[in-house]
Amino acid sequence: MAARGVREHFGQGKLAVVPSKAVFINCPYDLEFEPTFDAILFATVCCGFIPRSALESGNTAEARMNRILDGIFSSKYSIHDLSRCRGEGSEQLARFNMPLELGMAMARRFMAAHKSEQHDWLLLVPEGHVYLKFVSDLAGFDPMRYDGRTESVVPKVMSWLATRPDAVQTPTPKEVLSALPAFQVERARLRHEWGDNIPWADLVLAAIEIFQRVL
Amino acid sequence: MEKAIRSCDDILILVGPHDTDTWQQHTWREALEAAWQDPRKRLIPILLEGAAVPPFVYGDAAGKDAPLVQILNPQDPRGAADAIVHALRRETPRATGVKTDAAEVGTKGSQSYAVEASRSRRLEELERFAQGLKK
Repeated sequence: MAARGVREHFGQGKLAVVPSKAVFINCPYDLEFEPTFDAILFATVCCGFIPRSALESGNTAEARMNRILDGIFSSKYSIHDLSRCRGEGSEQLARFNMPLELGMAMARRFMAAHKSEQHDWLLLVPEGHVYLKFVSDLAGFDPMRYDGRTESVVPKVMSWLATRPDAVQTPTPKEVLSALPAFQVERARLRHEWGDNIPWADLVLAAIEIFQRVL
Repeated sequence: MEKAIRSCDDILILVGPHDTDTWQQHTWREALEAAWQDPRKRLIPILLEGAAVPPFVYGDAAGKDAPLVQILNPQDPRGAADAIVHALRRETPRATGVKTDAAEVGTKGSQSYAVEASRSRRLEELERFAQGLKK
């Protein structure tokens, strides 16, 4: 047991996660994307997997890239959303962190010694997204398209996770979507308590508790 | 392929004893989404060479009541085809209970124990993990 006042770190020690049951979520963390992010996180838990993220260590002394690499390399699965790869601001610059991290996940797939340990990733893009114009090497990888709503992204994430080799029986997207507002209420409560720095462990714990209570 | 899956009444899910490839996983994903969208559509597993039932096949509205076919003798395609046709018939509520040397038609419920046990173990694991997070 951790000493009083010492917070256990997600993914380490007692909170270590078996890679075959872990999903690294590589999505934008801004307020605009939050409903979609929450839906992906909650759907992942409802499919019986533990979501992981660059946000989880809570240790800002550790380089962001190291945290991401650690998350990807200790998860068999990852979900990547390229929504923010579009021109923004007066200079119309796009953020390219997501494709970079997708590249790490793709590399991890080819590094596995056995097929059963190969990393598997899901690529999400909004309808009409022109990703192939700037990452043409992704042609043929068949991304999942969704219309930006939680009702659209939840079935995509769930159908992918439900058909992985490490899947268990899942609820339906309809059931998950009906329980999602309870998770969003809990997220709002955590935000009130922690501001923009909600500990990843608390967020995952909230999703697990609501999943167990409602579904 | 997506159009074909969405336009059919039932979907036969062929399951072999070996690991699935990406194409098969893609097809299964489309089948599951199609069953979620149309509750009349059944996912009917056809198990080859003692393959285990993939948990997603219980995702249709029919659930445990839908048929399940086990191919017992792959050298008898005619017998296997007869069993599949039997499973596809909708005139009886449960087109099940048929067993020949070639194949056996039962319900998905008959094979659900392992899937439910696996889900229970995973939920226990999530719960233990959640308890760890609380400490």
